[in-house]
Amino acid sequence: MTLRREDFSLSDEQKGLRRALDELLAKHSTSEVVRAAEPTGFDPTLWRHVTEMRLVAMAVPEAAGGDGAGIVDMAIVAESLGRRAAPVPVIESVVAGRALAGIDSDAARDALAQLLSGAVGTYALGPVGPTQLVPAAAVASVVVGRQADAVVVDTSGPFRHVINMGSAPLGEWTGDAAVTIVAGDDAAAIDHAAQTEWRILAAATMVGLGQSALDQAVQYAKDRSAFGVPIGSFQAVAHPLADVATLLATARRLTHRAAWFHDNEPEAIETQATFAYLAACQAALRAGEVGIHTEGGVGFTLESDQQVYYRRARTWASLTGGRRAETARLAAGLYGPVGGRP
Amino acid sequence: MNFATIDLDADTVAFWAEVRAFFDEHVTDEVLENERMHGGGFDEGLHLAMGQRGWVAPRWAPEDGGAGLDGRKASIISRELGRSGAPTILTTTTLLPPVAIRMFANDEVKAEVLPKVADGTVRVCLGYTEPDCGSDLAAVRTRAERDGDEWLINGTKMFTTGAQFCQYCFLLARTDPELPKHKGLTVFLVPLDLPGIEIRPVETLGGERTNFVYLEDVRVADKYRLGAVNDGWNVVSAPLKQEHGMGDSDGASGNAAGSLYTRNLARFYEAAVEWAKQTADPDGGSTDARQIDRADVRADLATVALGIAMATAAPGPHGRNLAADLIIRDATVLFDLIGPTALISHGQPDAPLNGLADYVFRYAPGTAIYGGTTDIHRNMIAEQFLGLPRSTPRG
Repeated sequence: MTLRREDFSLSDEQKGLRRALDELLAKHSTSEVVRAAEPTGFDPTLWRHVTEMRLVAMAVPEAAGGDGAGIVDMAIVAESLGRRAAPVPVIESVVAGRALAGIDSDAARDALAQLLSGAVGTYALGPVGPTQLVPAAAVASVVVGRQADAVVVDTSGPFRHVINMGSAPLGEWTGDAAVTIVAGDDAAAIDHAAQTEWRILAAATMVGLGQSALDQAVQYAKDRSAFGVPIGSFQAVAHPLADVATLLATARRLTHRAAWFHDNEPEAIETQATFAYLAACQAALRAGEVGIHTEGGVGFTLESDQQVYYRRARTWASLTGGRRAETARLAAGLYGPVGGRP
Repeated sequence: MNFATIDLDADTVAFWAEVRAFFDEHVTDEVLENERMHGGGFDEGLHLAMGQRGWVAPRWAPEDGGAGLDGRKASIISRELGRSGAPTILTTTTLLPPVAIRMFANDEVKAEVLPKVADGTVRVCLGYTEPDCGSDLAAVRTRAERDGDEWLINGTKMFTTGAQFCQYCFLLARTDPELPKHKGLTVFLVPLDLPGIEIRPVETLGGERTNFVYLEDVRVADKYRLGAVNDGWNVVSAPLKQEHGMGDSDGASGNAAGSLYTRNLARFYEAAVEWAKQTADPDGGSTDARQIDRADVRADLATVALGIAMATAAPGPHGRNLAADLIIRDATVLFDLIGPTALISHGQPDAPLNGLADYVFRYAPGTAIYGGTTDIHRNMIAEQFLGLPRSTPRG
């Protein structure tokens, strides 16, 4: 018989962090910047600004030269970046940096030092293979990831950019120059933590993308008139927007709670990160569809930013293998392995 | 942000054990079976036993008949009540009118009604909607006309769930048909034993019984009027806000309706997982193969689990809508998972999950209608949260 608190409020520090980042992004991650950064999805000027703000270093433990922020704080950062579709791989670098910080090896320390002085890093989510798309590997100097039963680092990046629908800096990492930095159970634990962190921060990013699609569509529904009234007064227009608001509010809560458990009670997190990720995929994808539809023909033009949110949401929702793979992962967490008997 | 386990003091731990033991004792198989057969949404014995302990209105002060409990202990009672599977509808809704009674009734009526609500001997049903109203409450036609110190009431209320167990009806009536429709309404607390009142059952697909309440030349003393004449919209709004889960500043507890629906879905889901672990998969290629080993079964179950997590997390009216939408979607997902035997009714020897599939599938559509449809809540989200213009055509 236990009761848990249900406090989703942000601290003053967290609100301040969000405000400062939102101000920076309003200036330096405008729609023009986001579009100009395609197809690589990377803007070096914005990257300089966010590293000056210590967005990556912030999330690295103090003992390893960072500021010791947790995944809750980084989820707030990720949502703001998502809202602007910011062309900077902050969360990828954060996940790589935190993984490296937990490993006692010279190669890991050297790679972390690069990240702390502004190099781009990333974490490979899946097994290495010829068609493995690694987020941000096209712009990352440092790639961390799992190879067999080890966690490896490769500082020979960036790698070949694979042109893609989301204009994301997906790269083809072959792992040829990878160096093992930890093996065995420790490697499994580090990989598990990195995978969890990536899912939570990707979820927060998608909540941000979806929120922008919704906000823009709501504004359009208020401003645009048809048949003599604002289109937002038609329930056929308003109700899908209300449902998107519901999905986003829900995904945000699941994301924040998963982040809190990861920071505070990782042993009790269970399947929360996957719940958050899948709920955020659903919310952001639906927000993109509804966002375009609300704006009608205008929403389908490249002129509208809805197309950016729509493509980016699909990209984030695919990087782990998509809903099918994530649902199978969820099932493994809930019901154990196939054929596994208690 | 904080989701940490709350350190409960010894007193609260002991209280929790007491509450659990209380419901274990009072929510017998007979209570559950009676609800399944008759769907009254209420068990008088249980309600009176709760009332004796002040647990009907646990947060009310002892001088008002409550237990004077803090929010934590009160939430332990509602958790355990929910967990027990007991019928909860009237026990929950009977606390809504007192919100308005406290604000708008005179002292005599307060003294007559509130202590008995608290001790469980008085229940109050919601006389809101009518056969021609649906969710458009401002369209009520039940007429109240002044006659000296009394009011003469004529009309029909519908979906007055629990009326057969109630002593009063919290009734919205039209007092001035000339005024714009929201303005000519007044609320009365109508004693249900007055001449001219007839309660007739309405049976529902989900097995719950609800009612018509017919009122023919019913004479109600003016003291039972709540609030000013023609100010009824204000008077109904106070408890409605609570029913819609929007009156709470704490989002976590503002989703009472949604959490009831999700609890029903979760019961079905948990039983389906157990079924999938026990049931052989004839296509599995070995005698050990179970349904839970099939990729399609795992994906369906995991999708339902995600839905339950989402509905549980969603705040306020979001949670009300998501819970309803998901139980409707997932009742049929789980039904398909089990196959044709899911059709077998409760009580039949071969019914898998003891007939839960039948029950939840029938119950599900009502969840999008009770207490204001999901469409009404979509309007609310669109207008109040998103700032969209009021939908047309609406008065």
